[in-house]
Amino acid sequence: MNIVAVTACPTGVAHTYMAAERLEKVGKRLGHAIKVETQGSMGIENELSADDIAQADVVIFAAGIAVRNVDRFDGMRIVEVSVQDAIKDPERIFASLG
Amino acid sequence: MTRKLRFQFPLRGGLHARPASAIRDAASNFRADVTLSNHRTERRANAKSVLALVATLTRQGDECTVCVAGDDEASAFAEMERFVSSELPLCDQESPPTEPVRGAGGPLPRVLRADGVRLIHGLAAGGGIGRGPASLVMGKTGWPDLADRTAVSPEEEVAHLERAIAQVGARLRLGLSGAGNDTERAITGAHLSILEDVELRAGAVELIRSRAVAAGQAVISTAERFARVLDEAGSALLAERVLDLHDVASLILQALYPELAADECTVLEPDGVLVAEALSPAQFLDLDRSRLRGIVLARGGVTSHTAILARAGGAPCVTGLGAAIRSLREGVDVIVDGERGLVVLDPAPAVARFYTAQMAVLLEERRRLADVAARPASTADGRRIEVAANVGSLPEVQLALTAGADAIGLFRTELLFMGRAQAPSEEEQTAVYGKAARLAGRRPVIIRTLDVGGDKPIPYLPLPAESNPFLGFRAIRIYETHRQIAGAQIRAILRASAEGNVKLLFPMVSSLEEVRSLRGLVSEQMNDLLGAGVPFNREIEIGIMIEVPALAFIMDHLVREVDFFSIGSNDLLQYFLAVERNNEVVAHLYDAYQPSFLRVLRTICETARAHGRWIGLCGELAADALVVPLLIGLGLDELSVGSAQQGTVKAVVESSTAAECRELAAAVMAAETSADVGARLRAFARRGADHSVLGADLVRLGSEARTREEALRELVDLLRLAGRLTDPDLVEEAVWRREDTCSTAVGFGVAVPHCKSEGVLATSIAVATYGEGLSWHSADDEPVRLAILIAVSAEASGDAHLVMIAKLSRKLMDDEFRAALLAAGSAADVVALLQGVVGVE
Repeated sequence: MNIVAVTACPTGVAHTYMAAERLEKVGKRLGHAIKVETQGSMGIENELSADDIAQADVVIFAAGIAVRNVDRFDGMRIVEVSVQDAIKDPERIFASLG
Repeated sequence: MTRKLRFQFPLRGGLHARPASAIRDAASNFRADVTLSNHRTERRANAKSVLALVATLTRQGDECTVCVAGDDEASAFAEMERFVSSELPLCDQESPPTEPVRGAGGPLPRVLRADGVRLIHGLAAGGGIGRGPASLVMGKTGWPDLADRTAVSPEEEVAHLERAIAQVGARLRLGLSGAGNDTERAITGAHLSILEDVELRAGAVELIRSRAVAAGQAVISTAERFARVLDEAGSALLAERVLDLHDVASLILQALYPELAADECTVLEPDGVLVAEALSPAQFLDLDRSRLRGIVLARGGVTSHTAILARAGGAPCVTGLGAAIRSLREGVDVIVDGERGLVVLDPAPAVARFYTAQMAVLLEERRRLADVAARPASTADGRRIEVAANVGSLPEVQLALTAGADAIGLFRTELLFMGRAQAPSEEEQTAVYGKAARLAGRRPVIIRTLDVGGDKPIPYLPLPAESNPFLGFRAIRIYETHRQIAGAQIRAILRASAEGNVKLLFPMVSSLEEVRSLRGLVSEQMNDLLGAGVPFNREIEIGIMIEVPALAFIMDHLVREVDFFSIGSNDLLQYFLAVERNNEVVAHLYDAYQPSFLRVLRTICETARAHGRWIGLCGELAADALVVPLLIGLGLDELSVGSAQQGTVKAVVESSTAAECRELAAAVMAAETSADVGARLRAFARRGADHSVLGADLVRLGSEARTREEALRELVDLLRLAGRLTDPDLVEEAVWRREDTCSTAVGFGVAVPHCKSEGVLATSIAVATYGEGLSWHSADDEPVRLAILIAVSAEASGDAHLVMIAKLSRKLMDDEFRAALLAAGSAADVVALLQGVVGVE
């Protein structure tokens, strides 16, 4: 599957990046194409382009706070999970995508 | 003719102090005699005396009669009738709350916020943390031994008593206007009403006249008579009045015999926490401090001399508890937290463990600073800054020199004069000052002449009771009137100058004329000594304190008349901002970061420097590590602080260059607000500490923390000991705020707590491992064996650190990396592993 994801946690110092790392690693291992945008204390990094989003089959929000620029994903299938789940059990998240 | 009014006493609480005061107020408006009789108890009372009224032991429903007789009895009777029917039934409101409401400084550590933790908030007077059983000095039933006080003549004893009552009354009224809250006002008001009770006074006067006893004995006997009656009533409300009665009687005794004051609290239980209404500096010095574990006071600000002395002597001290101090009972296990201004009663095991750890942290901080304290301090670019000590007695001189002070920057001499019947002789003073000079060797000893006023009564130095003694007849202003005492002290200081490096300092100067007159006084004494062939240093340096702001504008004149200046920052600040420093109500306005105040400091220093005059600063300001670089930048030659702060101040001096301090001073002068000043000072303190986020001193392998609370606090304290925080409690709070939204345990036995906080000086990473693992309260509750605390400075500039932390966070998701961290054999190994990720700094 083609997947895009956004990670964001309240402080934006650590867990945002841990979740991004896990989603990327596990997603790739499971054979998905995945790109993860981080919204942390350094602002938005690895920003998803309009192209990235257009080509994606599904969007994952792993966020403890509101995701910024959320209108980019209008009309898309969005799966919302907690940052904790993205870190601890990304396999289950990918399995649920069907 | 006597008019009578019979009624049933209406109040459920009986005739306690509040309704009694109301009856007294109603009756006292008239010349007629007004009495109240209780037919059940068969007691009769003068209705103008609260004590007598209370002593009728009147309960609800008792049949009572009010009798009125005298020349204005008609109007008096009408008033009493009105009072009894319409006002008396409303006199039974709730008693005042016993907990004063007071804003605590910062957030409290989590462990102290648990249910069932019994805390009393006061003002943090410093001195660290101590624990021991409470030893109450106040409210004891014992009286001082007055056996050797015999009556002179009844007339003189009565006059003596009247003077003492008037003196205590003046002091209480002063306290009433400055009281911090309703509770304090209520208690001071109760004291005042007892003090002025007509029956108490009449009882004492009667004893003096009929049995020819001394005034003190008469006060004790009368107070005891009333106390017995109140005790009989067996009511809690009245039992408190017994304490008040004792307090008031003690105040009168102290006014009668000022030299008694020190005797009261010399005996302390071993490992004791001293609990007292107030403590004079003299009383503090008389304590056997080897067994003292802490001091808890109801009254007094954190810059009162007693608090300063307590800090210097390393005694944990919390002051300003107000009426809440009455909830402390003799012998109860108490922790005195002088850092946070807390008194903890009966600490539970978790709280006790927290404080044991905190005490160890403080001890370690002190140990690390001891080496720095021992050597003379210079800035990194070689400018010598004398770090000196403020003392008030010979034992403190010894304490200060042992602690590493480069000089005695301020020897206060008031204590020598207090708590005694006559002034210390010239010989006695010469011996004390000479001993201090010899102890110090070549190090300077700056001795300040007597600085007393109406606030510190001294029996042989009668000063008028003033409504505002700090603006009144005090310090050098009394020298002309008390030439004998002033002259003897100056001669003693001159004579001591033959024995060491002694300098003479005058307090409270406000004009050039005063300086000239003081110099004249010194010349006179010098001529005397020369004539008598007594040795002294003819070149002795003579300086003045700068406490009165007016001097800032005549510095160019003063530099020609004196050898040196010493800024008394505590008083200068209170006079400059018009904020009394011991008044808790306006304590928040007593703010040394006000740009106006810093500018007046600059003016003073610039002129002194431009004319090559030596200038020092003695006061709490110099002990604020954030301010020290600013003071260096302003050009001060000397900073004089408490003995306990020598290491902290010297460490800041050594880590700064004079050049960067000058730049800081210039920048701070542009600040508009106190907060702005604080931010600039913190930014300066942060410089240089910014380069490294890791350190072997930030790693603890095999921690013994038992809970998440203890683990987080330990990580915070690792950062604190490494000097990376300005406010550990604020950081702990920030960590918890994040932890509360969702446990930071991320699985795999790893927790990554983190925060961004103003209390972080330098962005840092602390690491701990826990052998068996501990619960981090995550959803799956998997035991955590590795915790990495990421503390980000809220004021940090640039993203460099955040990039590193993002990299590290990603790397922690790597199984092998985590395994390597857990297997690391040493702190250095952990740092090397982490450096491999974040890049060598």
